[in-house]
Amino acid sequence: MNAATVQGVIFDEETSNPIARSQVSLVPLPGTKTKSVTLLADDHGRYIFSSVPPGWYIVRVSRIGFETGEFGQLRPGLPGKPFEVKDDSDDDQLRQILMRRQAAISGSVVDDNNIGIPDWPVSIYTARPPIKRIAGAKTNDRGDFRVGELERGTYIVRAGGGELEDQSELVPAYYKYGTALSGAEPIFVRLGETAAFTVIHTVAGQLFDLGGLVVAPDNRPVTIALISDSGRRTISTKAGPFLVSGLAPGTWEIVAQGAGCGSDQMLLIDRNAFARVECNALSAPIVTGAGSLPVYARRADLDGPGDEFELRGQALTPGHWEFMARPSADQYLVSIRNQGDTTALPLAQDGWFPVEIGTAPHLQINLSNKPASISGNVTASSMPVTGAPVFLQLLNPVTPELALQSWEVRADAQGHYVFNSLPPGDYRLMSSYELDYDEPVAREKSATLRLTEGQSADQPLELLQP
Amino acid sequence: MRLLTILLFAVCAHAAVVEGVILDDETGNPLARTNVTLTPLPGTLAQEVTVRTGARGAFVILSVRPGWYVLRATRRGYAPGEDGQSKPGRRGHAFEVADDRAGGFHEIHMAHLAAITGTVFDENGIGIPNWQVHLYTTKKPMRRVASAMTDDRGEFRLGELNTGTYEVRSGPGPLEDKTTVFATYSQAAVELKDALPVSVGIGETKKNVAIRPVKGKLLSLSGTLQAPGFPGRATLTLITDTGRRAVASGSGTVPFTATDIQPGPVELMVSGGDAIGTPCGSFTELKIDKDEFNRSYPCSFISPGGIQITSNQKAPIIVRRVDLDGESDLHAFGRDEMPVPGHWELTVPRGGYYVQDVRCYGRPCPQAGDWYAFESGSYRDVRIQLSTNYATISGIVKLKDSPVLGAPVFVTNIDTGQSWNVRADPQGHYTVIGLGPGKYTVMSSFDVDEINLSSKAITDVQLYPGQTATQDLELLRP
Repeated sequence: MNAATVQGVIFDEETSNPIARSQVSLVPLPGTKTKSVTLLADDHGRYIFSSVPPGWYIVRVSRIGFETGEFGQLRPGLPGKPFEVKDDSDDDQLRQILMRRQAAISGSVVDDNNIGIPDWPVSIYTARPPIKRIAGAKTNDRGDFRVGELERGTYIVRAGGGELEDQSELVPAYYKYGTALSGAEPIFVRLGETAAFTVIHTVAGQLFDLGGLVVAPDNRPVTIALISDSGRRTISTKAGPFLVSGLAPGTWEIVAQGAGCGSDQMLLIDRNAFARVECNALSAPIVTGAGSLPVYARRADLDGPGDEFELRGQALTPGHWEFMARPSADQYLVSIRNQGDTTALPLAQDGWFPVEIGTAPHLQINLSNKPASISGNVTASSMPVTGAPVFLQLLNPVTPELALQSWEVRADAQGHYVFNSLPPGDYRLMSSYELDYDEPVAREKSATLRLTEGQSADQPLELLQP
Repeated sequence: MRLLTILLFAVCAHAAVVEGVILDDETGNPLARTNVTLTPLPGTLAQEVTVRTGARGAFVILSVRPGWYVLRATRRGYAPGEDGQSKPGRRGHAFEVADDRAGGFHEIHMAHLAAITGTVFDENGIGIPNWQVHLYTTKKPMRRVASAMTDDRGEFRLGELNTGTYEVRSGPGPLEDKTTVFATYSQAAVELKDALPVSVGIGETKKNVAIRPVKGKLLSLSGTLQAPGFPGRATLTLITDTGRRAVASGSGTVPFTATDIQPGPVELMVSGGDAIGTPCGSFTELKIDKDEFNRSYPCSFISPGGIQITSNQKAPIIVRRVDLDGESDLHAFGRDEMPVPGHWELTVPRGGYYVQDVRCYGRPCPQAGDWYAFESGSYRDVRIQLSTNYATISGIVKLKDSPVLGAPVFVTNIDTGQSWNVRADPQGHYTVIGLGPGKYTVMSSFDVDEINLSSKAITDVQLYPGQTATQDLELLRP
């Protein structure tokens, strides 16, 4: 009899129509001793959490194509306000949440006469370093394309290379003009917006052929992926010669994969080229130093990161990989690298350590028992702010305006927040319901501090307002 | 050598140049890399020539012999255009190329093929992203001709369509909460009879076609694929009128479960080979109205020559597979070919004969237009009887008693739907050969799309084997 209900409706901000079957989570603030619960809204966008123990909560909604919404947010994309559930509390309050569409970019790929080119590949890249290809599309019968489900941000758009009807060739070209990244015009899109009329003018140029020889044990079938920063092409073959034509000039990665064998090589193509592709026997990576901690891996090819999976003794095709682990609060991850590698440690972006691996990798996981931490109280006019959202960024030591990793926590009912398991480094943090982290005011007013290994820093924060 | 020089000189002296430009009808922009074909009218002794337009849409055809020609432009995504057409997509007029003179400057406007766009909505009017949409012809036999996926807003576009009437239908599948929806015709019809067909013409985009999928229980089918032992293998493909998917693949006994199947007809096709590559397969048709369990699909030995297609004339035989989800690509039937069990269709390219009879195991094979349906699977022989004793129809096309040079003539067999279209010569005289016996309609027009096909001005002609019929025609105008 001491439990209450929390209920509400999810709406589309643009049409005011209810949104059915969204994922709704009731997330307790730190200090509220219960677990997060997730359910699906019904056909009419309604959700009801019953038997909710007393405490402080936020309601969060996620759905494909929409920005994550939270109850009480000033506008979609910003953090929501926590609320208190008391014993037998009023269960008749409807907590409405407005969802806003994610961003989209649409446009066309045209020839010299402004005629759309059908079935042409288009790639979208993040404009902010590290530049990564995050989405691809094909133009329709009129040469038009649309890429949706994008976060708010700045992007670079590029048409791929290929052959036209008369065998004339086009090289990859950026929006608006040209083949050089330096000349690309980045596109900024906000949530709910479609940046339309992104017209890419194609550029004539020469494409090249890659001939090669596949060497595989027992002539077993091999799949060869030719990967560039504007996509990949895959061919299935057996041992012997192969020929691929129409490759745009630039760096190509050649990845061979067969049963129990594989290889990876980089090739600069600026003329017709030849490659010997060996499918070498592979052994599963040996992982030391992780103990029972699961280690996650994903490929980092030229056309963007692959899907994340847990390492469980499976062999990995050689090439560029990224690895990460999520240690407990009393440890932090120092590095993941090839055993015996003494070169400078590359920076981990979003916690992923880049590692170049070969046919018999031995990964050394380096955990430290001396993590740093930051904690403090968030106040507004000297009063504690219950459940205030706190944002933390680890700054890139080379380019401090860019972050290596970001975290977000909520303060507890007394306005107290904690970040654990942090590596040493320079940090920036702030708390606000109204400011995006990359807005100039937020940057100016956020706190910065340097943490050494094992340090526990106390950092009081004033809730930022515009 | 001297003779050759004289001959060459003679040829060059009598040749002209045909040039022009191809433009997009909507924007007026030039269309680069477009195929342009110069076709001589009957009686002009020259070969058909095809060139491509350059980067600015211009083309030049050199050394054109004197005579009468039709100029036609084709390009992906556009309706064919002809010089002198009254509007894009219509038939053009022939023109004369005289001795030693330029063949004139020709401008052809091309219009985009038709397209249909719309949205798949959920019960609250929110677009459903990444959902399949299918397009079917409304004409019998109804076939799936295109598919698309909705974008992040639930919107779809089906382009490169010919003028016609279509049914648009969303695919079946589960929603986020595992409730399922049926494949649904526009606007909210599970049954074809309740569907709202969509008509489009050349250059048009029919917008805002709404589909609201209807909720209902989808079914499952489970059982085993009996594939040959390793290293032989086979694949079981589930085919419905909303697409196909491989549901099992491997060697030996392979269990499978296929879910989210719309109640209605399904086809199950097995194809594979044993350890030494001998092909095997099977084909099963089912009508599913409840969950099905413990079904077994074998990969049976396909005997060489299991189907024999024979013809009394030396002519290529073109075949295609026909599944619930549409037609396969065409290929010439090889003498030792072992077609996978299932529904197939064949045709014989037109030549100096007509198809007198096609018999499947002694009975006439069902015919639609130029295509004859046959089954592969159990032993069947298919016999094609071609006859050179064909009928011919010819005559003069006139407009108010004056012959119409190069007039397009359309001849259609009323019973089979087969059609022929030819051009009249510079004197307005046309000839169609290779016709089988039967009742035909004959007409001539530059604007076929605007002619009422039940009009009394369209002539019916009864043809008998070997007959040469004469039928003069009045050019029909809208």
